[in-house]
Amino acid sequence: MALSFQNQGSALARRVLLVVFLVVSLATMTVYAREGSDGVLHRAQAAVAGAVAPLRAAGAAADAAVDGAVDAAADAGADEGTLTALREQNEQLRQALAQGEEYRLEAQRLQELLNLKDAYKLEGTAARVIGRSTDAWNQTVTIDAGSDAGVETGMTVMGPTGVAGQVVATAPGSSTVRLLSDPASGAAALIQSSRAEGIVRGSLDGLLYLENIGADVTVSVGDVVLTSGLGGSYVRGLLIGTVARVDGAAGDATRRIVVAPGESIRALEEVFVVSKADSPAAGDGGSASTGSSGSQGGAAS
Amino acid sequence: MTDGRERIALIVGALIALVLQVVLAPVVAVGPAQPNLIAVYCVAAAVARPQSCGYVLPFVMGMAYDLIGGGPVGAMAFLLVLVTFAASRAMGALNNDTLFMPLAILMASLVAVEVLYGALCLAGGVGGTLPGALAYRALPCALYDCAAGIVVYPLAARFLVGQPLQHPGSPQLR
Repeated sequence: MALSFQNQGSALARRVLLVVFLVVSLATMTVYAREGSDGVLHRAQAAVAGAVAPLRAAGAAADAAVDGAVDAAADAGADEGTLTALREQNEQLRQALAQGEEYRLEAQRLQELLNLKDAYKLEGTAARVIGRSTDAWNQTVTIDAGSDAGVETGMTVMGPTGVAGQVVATAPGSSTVRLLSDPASGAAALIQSSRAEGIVRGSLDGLLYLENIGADVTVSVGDVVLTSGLGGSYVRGLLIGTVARVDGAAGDATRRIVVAPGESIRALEEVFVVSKADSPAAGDGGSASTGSSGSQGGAAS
Repeated sequence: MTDGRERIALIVGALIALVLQVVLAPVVAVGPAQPNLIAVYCVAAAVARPQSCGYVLPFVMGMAYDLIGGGPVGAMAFLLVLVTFAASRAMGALNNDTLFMPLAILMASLVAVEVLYGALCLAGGVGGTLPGALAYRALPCALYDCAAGIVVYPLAARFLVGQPLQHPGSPQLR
């Protein structure tokens, strides 16, 4: 009898616990959706992201190890005797060459960033990408510069060839950057040749779409797309990419314009966080500063 | 004694799943598909031990997933609590001592987690359409999760239940 009561009590407690957890989860979701980017849950998310940043960096090292394992697997298919002899002869040279090539590529990327910084008269902080999103639904990267380095939420982040995204959360030693290709991202943009303004949005299929362009505007493949600075979320006049495909003609209500970024922004290794810019690229020599005025989702949100 | 050992195994497994989600999952992403090792572990644990399936583990692990990721906080916690409850009930009712049933329940649960999480993300403001979310994220991720589940479930059945996967002389697989 006592056992029966105990089991009934235990079952009741489990049901109560189930309901409590479901209600708490729903309440948390509701609060998260309603609060701003400086709300309690968003700040907690940013703090946790900062705390696990070293683990993400370890993940980047694991990435290199996976690449090495793939190479090793490919080598395993060749004749073992030949491979052994070649390995002994070339091991040191290969290491030196690989190291030199790595330095050369890094220098090239940094030089591109430096050129971009000079071309746009940017002020800000250079940073390395130390981690990527832990889930498939968010295209974010973690960089090794945080609020200690002057990085603030809303700042524009540049890759070697153009806009990469926007800072959405900061911790003392790291920041989270939402890439422009994320479905929740959006940047006010203009086509350089026609000055037509619209919004570049990311999507689930990984492409960038230029939307809200006037129906009468003629858009051609190869047209350069820049940030327009409207809404204040992104610095004006920075390169987003070029028009890669136009489905439909001018006047067509269902026209879709695909924008190709300068290079794959998912393969970023070094970035530049823009704190201030005086960009002549938009054609009017406008200057702009960026900072906490920006919001998640950019100008489109 | 056995309960204590199982509890320790459960916690150790949870910590391993959490670390792997942060360190390994971004590295082994294939295109848009990235495994949700936290969901895989929680559902595998619920299917492996349906009688003693608790709700604290899925809730805590779901919250951890939400906090280390960029999605809506509470969404994965809600789904994991709900789906592990459903999976343990289904396992309790449908278990026929074959390997097929736990794996079928595991996979159906993981597909449900990914599809429902996609719906919650869309409702939470992620741009896109439901067909796009299914085609580009939910289904590829669910497929990845199912593959991971096939590896994780035998481990969960071996280490979390405290009995061998296969008894000598018995046709039962667990």
